[in-house]
Amino acid sequence: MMLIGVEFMTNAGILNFVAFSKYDTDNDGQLMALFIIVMAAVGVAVALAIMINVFKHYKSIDPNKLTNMKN
Amino acid sequence: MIIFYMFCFLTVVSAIFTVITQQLVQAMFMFFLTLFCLAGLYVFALADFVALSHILVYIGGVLVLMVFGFMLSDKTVLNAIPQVINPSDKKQRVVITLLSILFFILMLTLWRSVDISSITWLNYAVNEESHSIKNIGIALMSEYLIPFELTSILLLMALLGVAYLSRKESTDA
Repeated sequence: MMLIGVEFMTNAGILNFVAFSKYDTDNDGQLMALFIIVMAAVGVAVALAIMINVFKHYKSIDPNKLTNMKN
Repeated sequence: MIIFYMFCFLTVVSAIFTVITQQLVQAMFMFFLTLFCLAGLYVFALADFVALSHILVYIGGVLVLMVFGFMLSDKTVLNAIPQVINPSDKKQRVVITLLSILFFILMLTLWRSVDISSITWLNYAVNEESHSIKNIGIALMSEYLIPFELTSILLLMALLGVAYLSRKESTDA
């Protein structure tokens, strides 16, 4: 769920870039959007690898149950 | 124009639903809808190349990767769907079959009735008025060459890092 939230934020950014590049002659915004898409994909891949490792350790991926570092 | 507002509305509604729903599977499907509507909005912004790569990378890559990750890690998260559909129920089976046939007919009529030569953005993209894809290609190979190469190196780093991260435990143990 947290991962989806991050994706939403990057998507909002991409939408802004694309929308404003409509009024631009040299499509810089679209290029930026492409780079951001690649960044987001990389982020998700790494996050999922970390998540699988967390699951191996704690047998759960619910962030509310991972309380090892509290108090 | 009304399609544009419909896309906007669907995007916002499915995004809100994704955030407020408690079940991960529903959130996934709604996120899928949001991504598709976003791709539609990109088409309206005359960014067809970005729209296509968005569909390829996000829906084909990121979303499938997410579902895989959840399946590989915690299956109990995915099991939280309420069991509404009961395959042995005759009435339900009839209703589902009728619904799918109706949907198929709808798709067929849409496919037959659509006139490809009258779609504005497609004409715009094919004609010489728009140089967006050409511009992107030239810019990637000239002005943005260094970011482009950096992105490729970043992808390689992510590939190696992810492989290392997910293998490390099994070699230690």
